[in-house]
Amino acid sequence: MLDLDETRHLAELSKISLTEAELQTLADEMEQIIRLMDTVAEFQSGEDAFAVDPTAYEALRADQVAASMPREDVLSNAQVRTDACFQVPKVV
Amino acid sequence: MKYETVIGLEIHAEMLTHSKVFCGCTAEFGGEENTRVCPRCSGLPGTLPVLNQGAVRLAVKAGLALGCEIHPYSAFDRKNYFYPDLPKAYQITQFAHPICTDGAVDIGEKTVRINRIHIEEDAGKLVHDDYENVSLADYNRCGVPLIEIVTEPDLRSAEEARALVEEIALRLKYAGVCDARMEQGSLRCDVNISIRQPGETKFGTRTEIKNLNSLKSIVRAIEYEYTRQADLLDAGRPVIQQTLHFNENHGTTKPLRSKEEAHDYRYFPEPDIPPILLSDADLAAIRDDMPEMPADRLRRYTADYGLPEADARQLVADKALSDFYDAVIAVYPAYKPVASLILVELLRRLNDAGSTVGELRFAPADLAALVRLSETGEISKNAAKEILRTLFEAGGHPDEIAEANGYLMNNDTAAVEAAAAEILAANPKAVAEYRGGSQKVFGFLMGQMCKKLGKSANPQIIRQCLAEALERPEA
Amino acid sequence: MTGFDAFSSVAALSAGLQSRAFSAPELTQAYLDRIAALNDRLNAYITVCADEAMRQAEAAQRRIDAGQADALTGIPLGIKDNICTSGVRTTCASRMLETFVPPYDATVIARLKAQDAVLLGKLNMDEFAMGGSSQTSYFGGVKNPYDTSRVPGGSSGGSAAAVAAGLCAASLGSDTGGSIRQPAAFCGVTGLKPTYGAVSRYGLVAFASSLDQIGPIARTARDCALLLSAVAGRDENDGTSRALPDVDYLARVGMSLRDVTIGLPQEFFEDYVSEEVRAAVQAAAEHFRSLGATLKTVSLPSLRYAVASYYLISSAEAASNLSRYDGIKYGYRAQTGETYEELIKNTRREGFGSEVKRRIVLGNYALSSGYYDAYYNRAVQIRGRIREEYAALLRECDCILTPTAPTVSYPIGQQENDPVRMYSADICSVTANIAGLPALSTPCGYNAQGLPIGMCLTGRAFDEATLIALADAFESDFSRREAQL
Repeated sequence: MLDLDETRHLAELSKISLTEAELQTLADEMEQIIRLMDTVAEFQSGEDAFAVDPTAYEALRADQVAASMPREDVLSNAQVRTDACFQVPKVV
Repeated sequence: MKYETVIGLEIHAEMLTHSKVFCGCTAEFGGEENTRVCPRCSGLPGTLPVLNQGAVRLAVKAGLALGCEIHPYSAFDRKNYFYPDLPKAYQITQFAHPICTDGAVDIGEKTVRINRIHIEEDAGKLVHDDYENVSLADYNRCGVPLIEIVTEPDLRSAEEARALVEEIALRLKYAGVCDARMEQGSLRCDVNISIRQPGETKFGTRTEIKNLNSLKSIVRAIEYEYTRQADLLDAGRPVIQQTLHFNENHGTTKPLRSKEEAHDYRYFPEPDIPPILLSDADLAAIRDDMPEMPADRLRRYTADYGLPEADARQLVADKALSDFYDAVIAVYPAYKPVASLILVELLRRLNDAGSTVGELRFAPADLAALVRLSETGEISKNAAKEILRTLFEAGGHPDEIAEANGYLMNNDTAAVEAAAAEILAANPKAVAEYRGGSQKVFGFLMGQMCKKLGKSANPQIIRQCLAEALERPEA
Repeated sequence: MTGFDAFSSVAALSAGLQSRAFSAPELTQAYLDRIAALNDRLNAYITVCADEAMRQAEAAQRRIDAGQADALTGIPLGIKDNICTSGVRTTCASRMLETFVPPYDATVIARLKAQDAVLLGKLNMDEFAMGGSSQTSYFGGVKNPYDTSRVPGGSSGGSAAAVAAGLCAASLGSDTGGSIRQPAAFCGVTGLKPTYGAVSRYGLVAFASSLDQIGPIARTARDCALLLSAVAGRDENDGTSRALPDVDYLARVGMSLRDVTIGLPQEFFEDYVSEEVRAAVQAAAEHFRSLGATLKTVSLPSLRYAVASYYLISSAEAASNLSRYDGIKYGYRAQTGETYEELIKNTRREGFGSEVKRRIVLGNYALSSGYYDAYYNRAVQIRGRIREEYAALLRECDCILTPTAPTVSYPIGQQENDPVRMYSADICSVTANIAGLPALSTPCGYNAQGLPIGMCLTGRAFDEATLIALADAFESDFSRREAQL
């Protein structure tokens, strides 16, 4: 079950603003999708671990400095910016 | 105090690697905004983190310094939340499998348990412009490697908290892990504090005071928060679990925006970074590479060099100062006189001038030379102080300074004996008085001797020859 | 065009260039002309780099003239638009990245450039690689060259359609749950998803980090091998990429099939697969038998959990990977939003399409406190089980043979807006990604309407060479029908 409040909470967690109508549509869609996802509840788990092959310490990247990007490249794709920084509405 | 205070700390320390934890940008402090940034640490689409071996090594050293168990297998997780200083909108950290756990640090009689140490990446910096109502983001600091040190709630006072942070900072400095400059933000402390009735075993509701950046703030914040919580409980009102900010100017704590409370970080294993595996050989090599820790240095100073415990502690507590001391005695191993000179004279000058060991105008070898001159009797104690003042203010070399200022004492006893003979011959009345039992007249005769021999004569030798001459029976 | 046509293989083109039958600029110009003529009907390309491509062709020609050509020197390729190309916009078919110009090349691009390949442009896809139809693109849907009223499959629909229509000699796509193989099947071309870790993901805009792989789509299995050779191998920029022993992807081509055992997992041949697809794949299996291979009926019991496991894991990773799109650093930025929160919420509302939003919400659901164990964690356990089941299968068999997708291409608009139906249709392809195994789709038939049917060979980790050899053997005896445009 995915009720409207839960959908609203998820939209908030996802930082996507939605109208009430859109929330309702999404809730309906999610309800069906989650029913499909609920198949996993039937799975009887055993010793199944999905283990990723670890990297040996000696194979890790050496601690060396590489060139950074020119500042203009760093900021070039930002729509709103100063000479030196990214800009957002003030946060507390 | 009416209530018992229960405190646990979360300490974030920036590690002294050359490059950032997941990319090759420099990890150095400072720099013009957004000049130490690359596609990875600015979260550009398509980029991937690549773990820095140096960060792992220093995290292990931190674990060794704080008596932890080091885990050969550790892994990374994503901590998801939105904030303008976090370009990827998740922080890569270690949630489920930290690299170290179960450590302990002694402060005085008390042992404080360390719950865990884990590696994570730092976020960027925000500058708030109230006039334009904007915040500006600088990503230079994004990706600087951090260790987070989490203690158990074993602390019971502001003083203990302060002492623990001091001790951890000292050990991290000695281990070469962090320079622990709180004013620069390379060491930051979050305090978790709750209070309860004495004897109560259950914990009270705790609040978290974030991002304290000086020892003084830690103490003040804890004291304020104790009072605030105590007043609440006295009035029969509950303490609300919240995240607080400490206002330095007012000395008060205030809740951060309530939205901060609702974080669901949705931790899950970081798919872009495989877990790390340290072999026994890796761990042994890192262990062997551990520098001398404060406790070992204290032992060396007291047991090996015979320094008084208080002096030794004072030296050890200031790593730069004791590194300087070690460099001096490497040249001239007069352990106690060097310690004495440093702790009394040099430290006084440093404190008065408000400067640091790093800013000294002279080298350890110079101080060694100065102490040698003094110990071999070539200069007087007063001359030594004068020379030190010159070194401090202008640099230079003690031998040259002593020469230039006539501080070098003439230790030629023959000349002194001759002078003694002359003075005694010229002052028969005084001699008779001395032999008659007057000690006072010795001073007069000394004065005569010094006047005759001049500044460069060693007062000790004068004293000795005069005394000997006076003791000799009349020919 | 002399010496080549729109459907020449990469191998043939390479030989032609090196024998001077034609020049690299000639070849590139021919493709650019064809794109100009046909792309409007298919919408395969989002961005065409005509000037840059000609410059690259000229550089390639100089190299050919100097006798220093590599396999891909001068070969005109298309690149899926979720692979970063420095200085060339990389949109992921999303409004969110409509104006994003990467300041760096993906590793695969750097490797192609090192051979002086020619990059014709960026290929259309489902938005952020999420989908199986290539109809969720902000830049309009892609059409199937075999029937432009039908979908080309997805998410690498543009990559497959371009190869099928002769709008490039070969292309790179990406595959997270079937996104190379399924469009290759729908468009009658060959697509290969490499073993996870074989090809660097650095520069691939991440959808699901533990599942994504870049791979080739081409006209033949050997062409896939040529592309794969050019781009595969350890990359220090990608901690999940693996060092490969000196591997020659063509090493087994021409081998006898007498020692080959091909498994047919019964769960992949049940009623949800259309009759025509089942028949074609079973006929293909019989053909392999006639070439000497041994067929074996096997089982993958956990297939029934695969779609759910895949969607939970991929959506969770996607939700996290797509959190960075807030308009602050790059990409689309909403005009309204008084506070930081409002701004990013509006940006993401306006910048993302509905399927992307659904996946993000599903992902956050799976990870959120209270649901992590029941959904995400359980999905990971299923993953472990599926991996084990494959390991057991691949001890008995050299590879398995299944349909690539349960049906052939369907009309545009029929089912793209039915998420459950769309997700369920991925059942044949997701397990290869879940297990991290290589999988190759190649045409094995056409239905009554002339629509292509694809079969998929899934093999052992890093054993792409076997899959390529088997597909190559099948190709030799298979009568291919080109799309009529």
